[in-house]
Amino acid sequence: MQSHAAIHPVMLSRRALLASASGLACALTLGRVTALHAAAAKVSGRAEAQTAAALENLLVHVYDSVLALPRSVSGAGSAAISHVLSAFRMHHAAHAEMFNTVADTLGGARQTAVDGAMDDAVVAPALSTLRGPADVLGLLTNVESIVAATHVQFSGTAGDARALAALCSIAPVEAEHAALLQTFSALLSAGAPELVALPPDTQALPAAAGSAGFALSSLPVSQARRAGEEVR
Amino acid sequence: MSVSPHTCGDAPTRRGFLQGAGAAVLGAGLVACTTPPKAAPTANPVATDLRLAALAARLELALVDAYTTIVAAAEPGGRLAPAPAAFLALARTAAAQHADHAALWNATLAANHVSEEKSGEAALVAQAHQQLGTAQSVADVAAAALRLEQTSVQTYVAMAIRFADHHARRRAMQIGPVEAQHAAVLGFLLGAEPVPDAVVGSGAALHLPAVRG
Repeated sequence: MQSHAAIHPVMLSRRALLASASGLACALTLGRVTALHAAAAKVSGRAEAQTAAALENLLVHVYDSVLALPRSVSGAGSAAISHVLSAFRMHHAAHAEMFNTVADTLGGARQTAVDGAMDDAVVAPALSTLRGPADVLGLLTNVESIVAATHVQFSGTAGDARALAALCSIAPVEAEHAALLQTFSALLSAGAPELVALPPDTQALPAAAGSAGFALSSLPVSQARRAGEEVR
Repeated sequence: MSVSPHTCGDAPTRRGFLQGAGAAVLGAGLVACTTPPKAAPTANPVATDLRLAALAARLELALVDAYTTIVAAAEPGGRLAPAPAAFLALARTAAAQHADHAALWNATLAANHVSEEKSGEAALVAQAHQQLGTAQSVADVAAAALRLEQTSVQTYVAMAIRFADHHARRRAMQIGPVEAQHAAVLGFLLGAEPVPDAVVGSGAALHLPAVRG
């Protein structure tokens, strides 16, 4: 391996700054970048933690909304679906608390409300159109995937080690949720709702059940939400 | 300071790293040289990041090797056949995705003029050979695959936090969660709790290269 000169940390931080829209605007002059870097360094990760907490609150709200639906719509008549709805809701409540703890530590504000921007754009319109378990699984998969993408995106911009640790240890769990929900969706699409079970009849599962949960080699981040969007 | 994209000693490497990691062109012109601090740090973030990238490549190659063995055993004619169709589909898809991951990390190494990794991480290869070699059923190999994926996910979580380069960190976090998805579906197929924990730990992670370069 080659030996290279060390990179001054300010360069990496500047790249992180450039990754944000505000950073890009301010990068037009290096002097401004330097000044903003110095300011941003004090709170790097705070905005990400706050938005992540608001997104987790939104996920709790989505699961609560789904669980309040008639079982024939939510799919909770299936013991497996009922189990994952409850278990994943608990995970997100724990995630919200973790991100709020980080936000607190970094001098930010605890988030008790949902991320209104994503609620308005993604969740509320879909909640009103749910007609059955396939719709529910589709919405949950979409929301989980967006939040996973957001945590991944934030892992590239948050500088604080505590914020990073939370983002990196939680993002894979959202991805796992999405994978299992997508697997259940594939079974419904295959016309085999009876195979949505824990434990499943593995011998009877179609091939799609083994691969539907991870269609891509890399988690896409194009749908990631913007840090600070929960502020209105 | 200057905003001009002039070069300095480490600039090619830094740019190469970003290209290899699939980074956007955004800001490339502004990643210019700055005067090094008077008291030079002892750590070399680029060298450390490259060691982490090399480990990630070896980790992925070990998983490719393991899944190759698994598919050979589980597909028609294999010693553990017949396997459930869902498991065979998972193993084939996961093998291809781990190969993609290895290629991504090797591209990063190549872009930085570091030799590509050709073999799997020894510790993980040994673990896979031991567990797969003694497997008596498809469930045994699935359980072994689950343990390998869990090791991989936890290694990515531990590794991502250590990357100094933000783009490399994001790359690791685009890959690690896919390993987690493999693990979740394996858990489902095995009848285990598919997503047992609210957070991914790092207790089972592979030993990471020393942080200081």
